[in-house]
Amino acid sequence: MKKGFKNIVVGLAASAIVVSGCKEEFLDTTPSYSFSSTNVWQSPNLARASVNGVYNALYQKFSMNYTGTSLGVPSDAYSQVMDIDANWRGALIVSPGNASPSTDNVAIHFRYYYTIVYRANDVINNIDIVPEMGDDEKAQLKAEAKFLRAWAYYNLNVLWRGVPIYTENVEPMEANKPRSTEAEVWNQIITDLTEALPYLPDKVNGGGRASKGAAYGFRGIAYQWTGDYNKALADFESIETLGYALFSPSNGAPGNDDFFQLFKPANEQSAEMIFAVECVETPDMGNPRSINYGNRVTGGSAWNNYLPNPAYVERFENADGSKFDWEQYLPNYKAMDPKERSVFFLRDGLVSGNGKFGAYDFKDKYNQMVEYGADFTKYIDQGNEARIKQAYDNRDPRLKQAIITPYSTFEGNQAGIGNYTWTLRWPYVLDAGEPYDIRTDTNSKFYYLWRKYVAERDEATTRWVYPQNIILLRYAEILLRRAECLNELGRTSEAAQYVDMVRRRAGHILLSDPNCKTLHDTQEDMRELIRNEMYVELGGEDSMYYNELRWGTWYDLKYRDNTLGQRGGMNTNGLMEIWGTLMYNHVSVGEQMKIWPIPAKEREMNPNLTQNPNWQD
Amino acid sequence: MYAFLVQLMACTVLLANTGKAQRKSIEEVKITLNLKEKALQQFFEQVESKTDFKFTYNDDLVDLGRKITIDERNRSLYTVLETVSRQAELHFVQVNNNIHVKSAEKEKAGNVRKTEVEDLSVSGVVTDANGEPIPGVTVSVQGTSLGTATDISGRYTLTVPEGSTLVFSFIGFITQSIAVEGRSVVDVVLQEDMASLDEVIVVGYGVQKKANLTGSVASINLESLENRSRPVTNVSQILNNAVPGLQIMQSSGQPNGESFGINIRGQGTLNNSSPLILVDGMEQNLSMVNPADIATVTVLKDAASSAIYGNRAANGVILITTKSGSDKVDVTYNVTFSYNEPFKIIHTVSDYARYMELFNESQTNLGQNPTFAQSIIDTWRTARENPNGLSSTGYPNYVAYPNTDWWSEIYTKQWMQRHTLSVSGKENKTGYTLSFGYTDNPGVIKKTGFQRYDGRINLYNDVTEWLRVGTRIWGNVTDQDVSASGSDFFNGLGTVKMLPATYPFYDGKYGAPENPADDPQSHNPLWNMAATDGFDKYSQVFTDWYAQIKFLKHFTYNFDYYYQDQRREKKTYNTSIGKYSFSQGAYTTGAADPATLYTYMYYTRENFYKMNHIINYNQSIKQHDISGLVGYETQSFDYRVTDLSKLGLTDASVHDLNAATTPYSSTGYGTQHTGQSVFGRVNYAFNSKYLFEANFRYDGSSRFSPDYRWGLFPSISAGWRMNEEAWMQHLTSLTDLRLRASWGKLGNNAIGNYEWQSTYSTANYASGNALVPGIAITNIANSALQWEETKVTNLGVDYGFFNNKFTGSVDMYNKLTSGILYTPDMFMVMGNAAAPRQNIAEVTNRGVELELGWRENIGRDFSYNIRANFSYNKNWVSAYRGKLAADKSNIGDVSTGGNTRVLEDHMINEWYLPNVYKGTGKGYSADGIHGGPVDGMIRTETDMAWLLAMQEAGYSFRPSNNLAQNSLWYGEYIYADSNEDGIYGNSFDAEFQGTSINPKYNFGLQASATWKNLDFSMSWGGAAGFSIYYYATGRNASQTIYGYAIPQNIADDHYFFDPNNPSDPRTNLTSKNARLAYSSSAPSAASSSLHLERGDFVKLRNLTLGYTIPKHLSNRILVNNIRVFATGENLFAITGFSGQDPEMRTTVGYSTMRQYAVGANVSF
Repeated sequence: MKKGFKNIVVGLAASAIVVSGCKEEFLDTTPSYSFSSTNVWQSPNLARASVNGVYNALYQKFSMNYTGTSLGVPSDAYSQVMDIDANWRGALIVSPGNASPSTDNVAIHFRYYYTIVYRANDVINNIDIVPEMGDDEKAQLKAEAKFLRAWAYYNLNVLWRGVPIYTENVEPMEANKPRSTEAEVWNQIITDLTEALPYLPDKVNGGGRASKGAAYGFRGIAYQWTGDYNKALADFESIETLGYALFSPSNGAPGNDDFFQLFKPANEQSAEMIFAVECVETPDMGNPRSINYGNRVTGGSAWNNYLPNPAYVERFENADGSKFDWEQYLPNYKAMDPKERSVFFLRDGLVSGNGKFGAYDFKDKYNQMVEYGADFTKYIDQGNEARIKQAYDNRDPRLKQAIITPYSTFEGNQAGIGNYTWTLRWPYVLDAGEPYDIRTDTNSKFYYLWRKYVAERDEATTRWVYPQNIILLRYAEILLRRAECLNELGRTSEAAQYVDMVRRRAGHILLSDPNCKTLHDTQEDMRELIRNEMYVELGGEDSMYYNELRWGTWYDLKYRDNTLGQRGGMNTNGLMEIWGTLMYNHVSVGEQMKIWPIPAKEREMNPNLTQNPNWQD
Repeated sequence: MYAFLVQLMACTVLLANTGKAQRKSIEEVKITLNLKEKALQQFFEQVESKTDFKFTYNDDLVDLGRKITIDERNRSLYTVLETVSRQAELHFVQVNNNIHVKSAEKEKAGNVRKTEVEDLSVSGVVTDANGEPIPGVTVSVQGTSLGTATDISGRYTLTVPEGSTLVFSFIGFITQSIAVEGRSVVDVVLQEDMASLDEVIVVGYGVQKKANLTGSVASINLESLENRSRPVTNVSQILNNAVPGLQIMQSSGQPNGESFGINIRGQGTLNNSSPLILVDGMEQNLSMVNPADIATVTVLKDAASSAIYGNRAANGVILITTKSGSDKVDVTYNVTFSYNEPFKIIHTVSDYARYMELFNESQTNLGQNPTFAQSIIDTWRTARENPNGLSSTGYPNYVAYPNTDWWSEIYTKQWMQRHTLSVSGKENKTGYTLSFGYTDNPGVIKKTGFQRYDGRINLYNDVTEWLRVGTRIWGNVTDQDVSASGSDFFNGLGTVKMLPATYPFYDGKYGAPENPADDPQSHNPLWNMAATDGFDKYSQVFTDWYAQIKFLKHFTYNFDYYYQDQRREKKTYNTSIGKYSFSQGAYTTGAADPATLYTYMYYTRENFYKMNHIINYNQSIKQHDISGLVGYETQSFDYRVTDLSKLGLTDASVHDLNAATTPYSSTGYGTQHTGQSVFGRVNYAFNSKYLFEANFRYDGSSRFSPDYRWGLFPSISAGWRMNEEAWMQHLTSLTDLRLRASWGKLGNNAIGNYEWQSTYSTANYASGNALVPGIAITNIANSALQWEETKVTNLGVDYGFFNNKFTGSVDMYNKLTSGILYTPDMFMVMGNAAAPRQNIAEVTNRGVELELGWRENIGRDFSYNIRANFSYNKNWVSAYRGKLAADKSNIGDVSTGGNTRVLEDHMINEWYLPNVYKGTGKGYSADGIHGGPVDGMIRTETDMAWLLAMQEAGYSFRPSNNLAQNSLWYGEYIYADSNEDGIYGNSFDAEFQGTSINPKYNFGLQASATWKNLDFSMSWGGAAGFSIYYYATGRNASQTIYGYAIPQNIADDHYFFDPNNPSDPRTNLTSKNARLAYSSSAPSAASSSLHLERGDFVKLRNLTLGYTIPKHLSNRILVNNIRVFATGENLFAITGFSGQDPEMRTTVGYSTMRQYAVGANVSF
């Protein structure tokens, strides 16, 4: 009994010791990999980091979501500039003809731009309470956040024309404001940029952060949207004094490739860059354009998801400034059926059966093209390639610097081969050996391919972490917008000099050159010219979709009736082979497509949101 | 062994001896005794040592501790017994040389009798089904009080009257009656009886007699014959459909990644609804337990039985107990060889010429130009007719112009083997079990298998009478192959973007797409698998260090310290192999430049410790049985990850991080959670008839803020053993009848470790070419988070008839989970930060569980046993964010989800999809809206005319209203206008489908039989009342994509109609499958109930035939017992589901395996 009693005492005592050893702190655990809202605004380091965190949201669209999901689709894929590969046309709301307010793509974009708004608001609302941080620094960080918030509202307003404005973050379940009008949102954007301007640095090398140049640039664009060309012009003019300049080391010398070099990592710090997504060789922070625009012999084996539209390629003028016209090189071209036209683009030697490269028998290629419908009466067995090359050689030099045209070469890199020079030929034979044809993901079709932004040789060791910045605004665009404002204000003759600054760098014929055949005398001609110049200069850089929407030209270009096929003038609607054979065309659900629908899900949660005209949930 | 354990626990001791010679009666035998306030047991011992008599008694009924006082000199034993019988309220019956002791409940105390009978000597051996002798079996003569017990080698000898029938009974075995019929030797084989009333069941922090259970508890014996031979790699496969209320669905067949979805009594929460699983008291993943080590599995289903586990028990608890040592040295060896094959293969078109025609059809259907020229199709067809002919490159046509059936290449059939050797025994005061297991499971896809080495040591030492110390150490080492065949492989492009025109592997080379006009990037899945190599090593050790101290007679103190160390080391690296075109005679993709290859190392480490102090109390005072426990527990869980990768190898053959040139990515983090609890239990039973139990746990969890951290989880339950009532005694066929009722409250803390606090995560940016640190709001916090609360009410009946030949139980429950932590959809204007969880939802599960069993022995040689179970569970969200408006316009506000929704008054994640339109088949008329296609597909020109007329009348159709060849056309479906707003198939037309992915019904049937040395068993199981959404490119979709596979079933049967050529031989107006369309956005591809299939199935899970080699043969090779068996696992399913395996509940994945196995159980 005594012994038992001792046991229980010992047992309870032991328990008591253990229990008392475990205090309440035992249950206090804190994460060692993230930060708590209670300390972020108490630390200058963390406060600075939260501003970087707003910029970080740029990667979600431009770096991270380049596969599959629609957020990563470059916005020029919505424009006339290029089309998405047939396999992925569902990723665009403009393409498959089933767009509705429930389309995921719509919601993904809507939420994305509000992510930037939310992060920016967090900084703007809280930065003032941060201890041990100077007022100047606070003002600049706040200005950067306001710039980014304005940029996000700019995108929202272009796509939806009037959205709810939040300048302060609210409780999760209380975010049910109604839409503001389009004008109110432009106002908000202009206010934010105006408030930010005094506190931003004039210029940031590489354009990776907000600067006065970027703020003036986007405020000018906002004014353009509101139709206030005077204020827009003033903003674009202000940029001139801030140290920006065209990247033009060879100063427009004939045969230079400055335009091409502009898109190389080595030149991303040039004075032309105003605003850009700063890309580095780190997963989810790189530039995926090289993989999306490249081809299978691009280093790391790229994908050619986006294909330049043949009608877009025709926008590149002849070297003398005249409009390009196939008839000039290939008489009767327009009257032919697109499949018959394919004959002009075929490689040499298909009939003789003896290709240029070794003993490869082209008989099956010949049969294939006969069956396809190529008009072999127009075939030149040993001169077909030379004939078609003329149509590309005698053009605005930017054509061959932006696009891989038939029978031009490409400095690629491939596993097992290394650096090599491939050539775009049709029909394709082999890329892993002679004759080293460029291979694509769409090998049964002959498309134009991008050269702009595509890494050469072993420049990009891994395809999705190409360190080239993604340019969102550069000085050439500002010059062309300045020309546009002048022209719209009736100062047409003053506009030409700014267009010429851009053309000079490219080595293209100047408007001031008396031999220049580009029409530029009337306001109407000048408007057409400036727009064309923007296509040629900026195509593939995410500027043209918004421009087309602003000009009101987008719907007609994208959905032009193509029941007549491609006979006659080139049609812009759809993905097509170089000679015009249609792969698919874009199907509209109606003119309401000019303005995106408010996501159905958001309207279900927030009955205060009205829908845009003619969209049905 | 199990039986022996039970025997020890229940302490039924019957000792007897017989022999006619010189038998004396109790009156004749004289004895001298002097005992003062001594235990009854001492009295028995002294009498037995001084006389030839033996006492026989059941110490459940006789209180051996009862104090008696006696002081007699040279008195007759009769007189002495009389004295004792008065003091101890007992009566004694002398049967030959035995004295039976009984409690004097029904007869007056002080009764001592003696009986003389005519004698006939019978002897024999009692063994179990494995031929193991069973000591201690009570052998009695029916209708008399004559009896004896078997000795250590199972032998008995008894003298019985002529014409007697012997009754053999032993706890844990079915009682057998055998007529002697003049024989002198009667050998008996006893069958184990799992439903025995004296069976002991493992419950939370202890054991309990099954007869005294008041909660809803089910248990499964893993050592039974039928379970021992199953070739499973995971014990879940055995538990599947074995008890009612436990639903297990295997969602993958991938070795070491089988992923079993386990639910007890329905999905009670919107969060993780897996039960708490404890192996010998330690939280552990079921897949990491060697099935051969397991003795029993207990499932705690209601709150009464699981409340003692507090805030982790809301989803029920599964307790696994491993085998422990026996009294004699026991060496067993089990071996299984199993031939594994995929359960079902979904084929894609392998005839490439046909593939090209189908692909072209999908384009011409849309008015597009076909991709493939007739000349190429002809080339392929010609080559196919002459497969062994040589192509221009010298490779045979079947390689240069391949027609690959990819899934038959991806899946293989492989041999799996498993060995387990175990030794257990007891030497003096030390008991031990050692076991070693080896499993080689290659899977059914190359490079996906693993080899596992399991080890276990259970060891204890009785240091003194009152102190036992011991340890259990177990763990395993697993070496798994690495290939690209994970879920990405199935759900990514690897097995969808593949063409029959690619030859898998020939002449040491991986094939590339051979048709230059086809997508050169189409995959060769075998190449994909080979393009990554490496290893994945897991090592885990679990330990339990314990001490048991007995004190104050009725008390025990248990101390347990559990520690777990789990590590994973995974290395993957790119290999450098090319793809070869056999028709071109050249590599189309060269071997990769080593400079572009990556190498990755991934480490995780998981540490867990838990410390328990438990004090048990157990005492019987007259008819009052009282027991209880109090305990204190702390636990802490730590998890750390490091993930490193580098780019650029010097040579592909050397791939450690040191051999790579450029750092690419390095990440890592750690996370921790802790818990602290006090808990207790009280049991009280009166007269073994009225049973009461109460439990509580006071639980704290670091996952909640200090203000909301602690919770109290109580439960109460009661039982009534009606058959013990006097007024039930006349129902002789009724053996057992027990009513149970319980109520209790449980918690669930299965959320992230830091959800109530942290909100900012790393979000870096770059400046120049350098990274600058950034952070951004990624989680919005809710510091008022609390655990979810689940209240379960349970009513149950257990019954047994005809000496428990027929047994069964019925349980009804109501399980209400409230305050469910759920993340409602956020407004998009809040951006992409994760919304805070909130305690907002309430879910009810209500159900019935039935279990029936029948067992019978027919003659000496044949016995059989059938058990069936059925459960029905009704699940619904009883509160969420309000009711749905009639026009559904607030659906986004009150519900969460897309195609599945969480909404009040609907089951969790009920399917919410539009239905196809159903018309009269007639054209447009005044009531135009009722005409149109009968089953929603535009099949006829009448349908088309109706559609046109409808559009003209102002109706429109979604997802496409474009009546055009490339959009809405013949062979596409249109959807119903359920809200009658004139727009057919828009988002408000979706309707609730009445099912979810979770079955409403689960059922199982296990049957076994033995005949002489043969044994047979089978197990069926199934589920019903659930649906699977099954529509995927390359599996069963009518839409084609360049470079992607086309499903064989679609190729064989799809709608085709060309209005310009109605006599086209391809015309098929009746198919359910839509026309082929080169577009992933065809109207028929839209989400709708068209693609929702019922998952109902019944599976033959196992079929086993075993044979025990007769002892006289096995003994010759020094083996005690050998049983050989043949078995089949996951043999077939009866189902209407057209996909892989309805149990997987997924569109596509690593197929479950069908196994054919042979094996042996050997004991030495």
